[in-house]
Amino acid sequence: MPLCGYALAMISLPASLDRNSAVGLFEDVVGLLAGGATRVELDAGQVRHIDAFGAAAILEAHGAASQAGAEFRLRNVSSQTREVLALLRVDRVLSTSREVPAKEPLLARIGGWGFALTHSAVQQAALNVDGLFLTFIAPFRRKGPRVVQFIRQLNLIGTQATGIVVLISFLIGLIMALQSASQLRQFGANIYVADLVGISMTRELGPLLTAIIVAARSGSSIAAELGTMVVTEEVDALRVMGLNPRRFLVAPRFAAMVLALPCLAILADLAGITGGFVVGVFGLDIGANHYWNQTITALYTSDILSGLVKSFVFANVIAVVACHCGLSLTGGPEQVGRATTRAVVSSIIIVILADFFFTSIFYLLT
Amino acid sequence: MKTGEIFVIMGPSGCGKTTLLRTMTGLIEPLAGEVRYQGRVVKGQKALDEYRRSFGMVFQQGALLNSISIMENVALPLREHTDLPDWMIERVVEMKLAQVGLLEARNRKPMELSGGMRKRAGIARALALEPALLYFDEPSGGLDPITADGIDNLILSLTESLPVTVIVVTHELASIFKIADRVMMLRDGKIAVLSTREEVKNAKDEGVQHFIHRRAPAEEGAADAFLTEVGGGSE
Repeated sequence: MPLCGYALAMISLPASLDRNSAVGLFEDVVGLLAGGATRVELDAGQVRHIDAFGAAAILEAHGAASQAGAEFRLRNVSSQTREVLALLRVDRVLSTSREVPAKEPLLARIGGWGFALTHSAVQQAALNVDGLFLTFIAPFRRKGPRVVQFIRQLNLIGTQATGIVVLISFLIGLIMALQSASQLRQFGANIYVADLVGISMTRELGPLLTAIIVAARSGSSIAAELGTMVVTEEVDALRVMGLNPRRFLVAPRFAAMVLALPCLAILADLAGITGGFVVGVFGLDIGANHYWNQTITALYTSDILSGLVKSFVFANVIAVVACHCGLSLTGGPEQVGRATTRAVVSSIIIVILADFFFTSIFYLLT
Repeated sequence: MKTGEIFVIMGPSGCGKTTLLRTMTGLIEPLAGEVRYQGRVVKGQKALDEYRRSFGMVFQQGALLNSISIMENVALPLREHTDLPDWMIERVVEMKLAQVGLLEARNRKPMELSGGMRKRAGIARALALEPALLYFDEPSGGLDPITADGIDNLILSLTESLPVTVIVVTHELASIFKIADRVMMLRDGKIAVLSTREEVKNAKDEGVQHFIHRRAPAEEGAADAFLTEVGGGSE
């Protein structure tokens, strides 16, 4: 309780300086300082019990007084209070709180980010080269991916994703046909729904949708699995056994991804076209043969091939980003979740950027 | 390192034991100095691969591949580094698993085993290629005293029956004084003591005595500076 104000302020500390009284003490001191006190004295003569909350209030009051340019005194400290303050290492807490954390200059931070980004890009490029080598060249030298692991990954990435890829592509085909039909009907051009759905699915939406689904589904799984293997030292165990983790872990996943994704994209194309077909035939009264012939006439081999090229590139991106995020993980198990999120977000962004790049190239070429 | 000995690297947490082990096994590059094995500097990927085929390492948690069975884990180095026929690999793996008392668990996955069993399986895998050198990272860490003692006995039996040198990184005092021929204590990244276990027990070094007698150095006067600053006199 404050005994007097203005220049000299004296507070007699309560018998129990704990969680219930500590905040009040600090607020009293702050009030006195705001009232113009230039010297604050705390009398600890009556204190019989003090805990970490009380000690924190004393340290904060001391800090507030120093900041206000006021003198701070703590009187009549009993040996018991002294012991508690020593146990709570108030000296160390005070000296740490006085340390001003070194702030890195902005330019240095930008440089650091740039370096980290470049380093990561170089590592991922190297991983991509290794993945391509191990998938397409090394098998002829009997050093390719392990067959059992490759088949397991092919099942996880390809077979098990078929259902969701087909379902979503079919629904997108339906939606696209319905949306475009409402516009084209005004010009009596319903039949061009077949062109629109066919070309959009094969050139653009089939590969892109498939890549996004696979990035979310399998990219996250790869990053989490490899990240966990890093945390449990399984990757280190492979290294000390003289086994290359890229051949053991990256190659089966990379090879399965570059094989599965284009196949899934073809299924997505077919499912999307089927969706458009259902709307065209049952909703717009276009004859089944008429719709089918219109789709075949509208599509060129180059449309399908450009979609497959995109799928192959997207597969590279997803596999490399996911493997890199998993294998470059540092820290404990809590980092696995972050690596997984990073893998999905990064691969989707890079996939869309790559799609934009390819679409621009194909547009300019045609 | 003397051939056939059990060499223990001990020290408090954060002293650099694990960093030293990871450097010795080529998992991290030394900032200074070099790793030598049988008189030759281990430098470059080819030398590192050759060196790694000559030692086995047992990780703290076993570090077995969770997607394959114990048997496949132990067979992995044999399948990858040798051209032995499958029947030979199977027999060798069964013998290694029998040696560590895990033959009956050969078809189980690592996640189905207890901590002690995983460590034993890790030992079997490390022994697969009959290495001349075995590294152990915290072999008794996280195990109950009886299981830990079983691992210690296994390490002792290995050096008695096989021409193998063992390097153990640990801070488990009971293990150290049971199995070590020589002990090296690290403190702040430097060698504090390097001697036989008996000599280490009697070492004059205060830090060593604190460590082996489990005495934390007392921190005194942790409130004196503050109380002096605020004029905190006694009652």
